[in-house]
Amino acid sequence: MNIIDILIQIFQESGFAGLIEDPRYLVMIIVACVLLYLGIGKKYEPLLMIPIAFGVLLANLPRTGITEGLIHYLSLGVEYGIYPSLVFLGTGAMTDFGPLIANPSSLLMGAGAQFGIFTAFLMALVLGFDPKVAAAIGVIGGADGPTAILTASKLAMEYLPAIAIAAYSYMALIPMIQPPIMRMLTTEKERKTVMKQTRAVSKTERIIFPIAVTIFVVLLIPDTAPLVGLLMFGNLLKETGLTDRLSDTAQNALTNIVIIFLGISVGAKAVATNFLTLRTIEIVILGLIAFAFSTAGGLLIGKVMYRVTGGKVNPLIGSAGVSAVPMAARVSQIEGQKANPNNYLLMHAMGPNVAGVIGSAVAAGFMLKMFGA
Amino acid sequence: MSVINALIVAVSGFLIVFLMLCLLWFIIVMINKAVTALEKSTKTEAPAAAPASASPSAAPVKTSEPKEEAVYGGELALYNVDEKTAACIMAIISDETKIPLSQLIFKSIRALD
Repeated sequence: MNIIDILIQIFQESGFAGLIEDPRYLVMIIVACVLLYLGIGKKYEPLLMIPIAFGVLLANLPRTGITEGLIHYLSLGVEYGIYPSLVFLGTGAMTDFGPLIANPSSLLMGAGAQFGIFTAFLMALVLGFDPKVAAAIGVIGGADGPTAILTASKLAMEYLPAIAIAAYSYMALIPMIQPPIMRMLTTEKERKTVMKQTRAVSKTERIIFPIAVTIFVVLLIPDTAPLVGLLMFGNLLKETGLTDRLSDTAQNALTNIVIIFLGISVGAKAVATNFLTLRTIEIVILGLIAFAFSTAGGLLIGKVMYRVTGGKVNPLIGSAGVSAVPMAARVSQIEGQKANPNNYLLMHAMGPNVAGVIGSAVAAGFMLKMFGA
Repeated sequence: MSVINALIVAVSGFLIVFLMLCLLWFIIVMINKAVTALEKSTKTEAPAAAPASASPSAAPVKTSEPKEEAVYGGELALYNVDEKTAACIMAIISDETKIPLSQLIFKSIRALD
């Protein structure tokens, strides 16, 4: 034994030798760096993009064995659908359903904005995806990361990283994806519509709402319980005013911890051998189509409501039906102000926006009911 | 999965989402009606109880506490004030009084000419 032998042995057992053995890992390291750049440099959903990207990086450094140890155990939270539900708990604790309760007709726009889910589902079937996988891909159109992850973890585990990365990338790109569709489908006159201020919502209504939604929605579609149930539980913690400590934990500490675990676990599923395929590119394209159709669906329902109400509803708030809280509502506000500087649509758009969260959870529950075990 | 079956799944899924959210619409309206009715009845009970306690021959009657009605920021009435100005006014008041906006409740802002 001499120094050269030891050095050669160290190199042969190193990750560098692993990269030479299978260069696909090198490609995945580059993909991870690009995702890190998007998260850090471009600030695309950094809270989730950075953990996901780092998970991709860790899982694709050869010969670490990390995916069989730490990551394996962290991933159980994704496989059993625990993390997405806990994120929904935090989301519920952060969400103000007041605008929706004040203007319940905005639920229709939240429903219309699920159109992309079913369009992408059909397109995925045309491309030859298994129906279960097609259903999971379609849910990207709900623009709701945890919902997409939960559905993919139950129906298409092998495509989970591609679906999660597509969902979060497009959510970050909403300010670029939605405005052209909004301008294309609405007239100048419609965009200028100024909406009246909504009524005040009493505390009693705010407390009853999450309880009633849980009872009715979960009774009708039991598969929505992990999402709708936890979303409403989180909201109840916030609205009672008696559980501030629990609400605070759900909003901050718990959500932050879960997001770290969720991001790392999802990213670590993107191993070179199953990620670098044509299917991944197809999923990314289908995700974009799903987003576009969902935006169009919400806008078209908004246009119908504009006509039905005699011009009292600005159709631009319809595009906010694609969950993505509050990014989509902000886009409605910005586009509304571009048409009319005195237009303040943010609070009105929050109605369809939070309705979209419920709508996408219902759509995901439907897909799980149809294609689950 | 055949084309027909795929279409049936897609259409019925979209329909279920619509029906579910329409049901929620109905539930919200019902909650609103119930709460409004409850509030009206507590409001009418309270003045009715007051004269009874004023009567010297009657035993003191405890009037029920009026139901707490929280009005949240963002739902205040604006009279001839645009939302941008209202936001500025609220921010200035919060800054001057050193009370966080989350602890302040604004009911109305009216422009005085």
